[in-house]
Amino acid sequence: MRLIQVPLVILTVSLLVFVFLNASGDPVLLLLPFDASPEDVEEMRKALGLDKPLMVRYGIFLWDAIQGDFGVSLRSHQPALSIVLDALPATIELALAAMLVATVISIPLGITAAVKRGGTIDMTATVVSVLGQSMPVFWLGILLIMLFSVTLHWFPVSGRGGISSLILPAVTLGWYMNALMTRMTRTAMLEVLSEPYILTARAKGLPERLVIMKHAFRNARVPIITIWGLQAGTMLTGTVVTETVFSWPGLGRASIYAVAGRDYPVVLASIALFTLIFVTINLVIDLAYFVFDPRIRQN
Amino acid sequence: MERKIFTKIRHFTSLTIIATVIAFWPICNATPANAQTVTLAQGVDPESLDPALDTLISSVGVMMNIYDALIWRDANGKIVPALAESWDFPETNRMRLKIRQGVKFHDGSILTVEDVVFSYQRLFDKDSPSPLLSSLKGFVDSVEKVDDTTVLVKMPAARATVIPTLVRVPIISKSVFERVGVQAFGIAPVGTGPFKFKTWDKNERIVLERFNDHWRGPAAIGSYVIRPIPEDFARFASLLNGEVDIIANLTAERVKEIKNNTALKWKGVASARNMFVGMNTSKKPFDDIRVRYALNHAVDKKALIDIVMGGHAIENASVCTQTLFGATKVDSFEYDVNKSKKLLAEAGYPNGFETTLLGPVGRYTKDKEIQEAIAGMLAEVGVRVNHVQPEWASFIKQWLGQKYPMHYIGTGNQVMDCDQHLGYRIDGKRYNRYYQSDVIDTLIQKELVEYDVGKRKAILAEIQEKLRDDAPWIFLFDLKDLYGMTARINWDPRPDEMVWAYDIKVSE
Repeated sequence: MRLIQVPLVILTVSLLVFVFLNASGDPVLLLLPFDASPEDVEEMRKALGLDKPLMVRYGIFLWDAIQGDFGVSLRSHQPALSIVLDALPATIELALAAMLVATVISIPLGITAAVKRGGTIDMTATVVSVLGQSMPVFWLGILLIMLFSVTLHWFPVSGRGGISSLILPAVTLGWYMNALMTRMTRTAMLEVLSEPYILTARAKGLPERLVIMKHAFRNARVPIITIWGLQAGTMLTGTVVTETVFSWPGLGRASIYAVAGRDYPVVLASIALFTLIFVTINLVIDLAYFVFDPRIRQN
Repeated sequence: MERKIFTKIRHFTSLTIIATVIAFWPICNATPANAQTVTLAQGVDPESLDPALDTLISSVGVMMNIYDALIWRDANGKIVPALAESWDFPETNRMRLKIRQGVKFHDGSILTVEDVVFSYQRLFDKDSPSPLLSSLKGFVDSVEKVDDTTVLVKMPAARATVIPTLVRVPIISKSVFERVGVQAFGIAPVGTGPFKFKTWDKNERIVLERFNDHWRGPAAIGSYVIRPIPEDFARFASLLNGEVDIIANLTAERVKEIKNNTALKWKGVASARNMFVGMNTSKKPFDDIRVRYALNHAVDKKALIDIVMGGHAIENASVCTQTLFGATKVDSFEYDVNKSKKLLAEAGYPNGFETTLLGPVGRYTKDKEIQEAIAGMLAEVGVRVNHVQPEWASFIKQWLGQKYPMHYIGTGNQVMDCDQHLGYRIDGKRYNRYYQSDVIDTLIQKELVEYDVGKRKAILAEIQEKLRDDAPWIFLFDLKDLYGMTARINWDPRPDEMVWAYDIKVSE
């Protein structure tokens, strides 16, 4: 079922993007100087294949795309697919690092907060999640640059190269996910910890560590994984702001420039790629439920 | 392609491993820039390094370090010979250029007349029209070989601006282009310029290396790196941190900070860009000259410059930016609210009127703030302004489509001549855009064919006076380009927005 949905989603999304981009701007007018004559505009339109009706162009695009050909960028004349694939590794690197930062902080923090409810760590967790969800990514990035790059000189301000340049953007990008997951882990754990079987486990004298990790956390995993999966997709496709603040050469920036220049082939290639990534992650999450939750397995 | 993807996947796996050790990694300081390397940070990365494809001035600025044109401008804006040693005009519509002999391309081959002819003629190819061609059309019809050292530029008629127009066309290596094709050439170009192309990581950095066999003699610096840093603050922080040496588009707020920092300095230069508010003079209410005068009197240019622009702009009531050839000073409209109200009343609008101002956001320095300030000033005389502020692409579409009565925009100039501004802003009958005047159109046709500098300046001055008196725009100001740099950099910015690294010197 899922596999049939994938092409359908891509089809709908690409059509919407195609129509919207056409309605709001004209790549030819952006390419040519202000004083270009109407004949120059027509000639350029023709040479780029933009003189045909909208739906005909969409049909041509679709037919070529099915065969793996997304065409060439209207602006640089480089293949659209290679433009987005070249930018992909930087985005994946950043997103993985951000997810790592978020996961290694949020889960232990969330668990401890739930177990030691009302304590200092619980307070810390609350502060982390409130700050994380209320501070704009853009603002956080600038604050981090001011403190860690300009004042302390620990990390470079911008660019990509080596671990030191990855840390600030990863923290910035992972900040929101970290906040959400901390809260989610805490809530899920609190809920499970109040279940009768936890009481039973404690009553039969199991060590507290085992009660928490084996009985409680195992059952709290499913909602945590759901959030994790949703955030993973958002993270890969939502790196535009972080990439701009830190001049990170990723897919977010490549696609935002393509949108600004109404460079359809590149926009559509990146949309297709984004959609594919998103759908794949959802698929993996579904499989993860299957593995982690025996109730789903029985169905 | 498949293989490439696999190496990428391998790359990710190793990255995951690397990422796990982040927490334990020793924290390293940013390394100081190499004495011989100068790094520029600008807002955007070029789309292509093929001059026929990318004509944005920030991209052309990068390319002119890699290529040479036939003719060049020095740092003071003076026309100087480049790949053409000398030129003359055998007929009014023919220009003959002697090509410099023994000039080497970065691949070691020698520049020939064929390279020159090819660099021009490929722009005229109907199947792959170049945005650069639009700047040539009407000025240059073709470039042909005369003999092994001479080319002939054919023009439709006499063209006074043909010399600066040739500055805009870089000469590429014909043999390399034909061998590698347009796609490969666009990402690894070969020219005769002072720096040769080394690497380009898209949206990250372009690395150029000094070309020791350059015909002018080798550049002072060993390598020149261009980094795109889109965010204003991050660009400034990179300079503070010593990661880059020069930053373009320094904001006025940061100038104060630089003044208190001995490690840094800033320089400003009057640019080629003039900002104005356009009015649709073919429709009510702006078809009435009294209304146009009223609006000019209602706007306090000095306040806009001092308060919004931080003093980094120059009031100008001429259509031409004052840095351009042929620009002349004309009287500005003094700020006078009462005069403005009186003129509006005479024109039949004692209570003002409602109108819409179309303007881009994030395109020009303080564009949003300027539009809002102008709207506030116009409200004082009863003109109620609604704002339409789309992003650039839809702005251009709506502006060219003449959807709104007023617009805020700036015109730059790539040939540094008044004529191009006239072409951008007065389209007359050709495009029916916002303003048309038979008198002005006739005068433009006269200056276009006038080779005598004195006479041409006189005609251009007449045009500017007449346009001032006709007031088809609310005249505002010329922009200044601000650059920040580290103290060791010796370089003066050019008015044409290009950073030409051959002129950069480093003191230790």
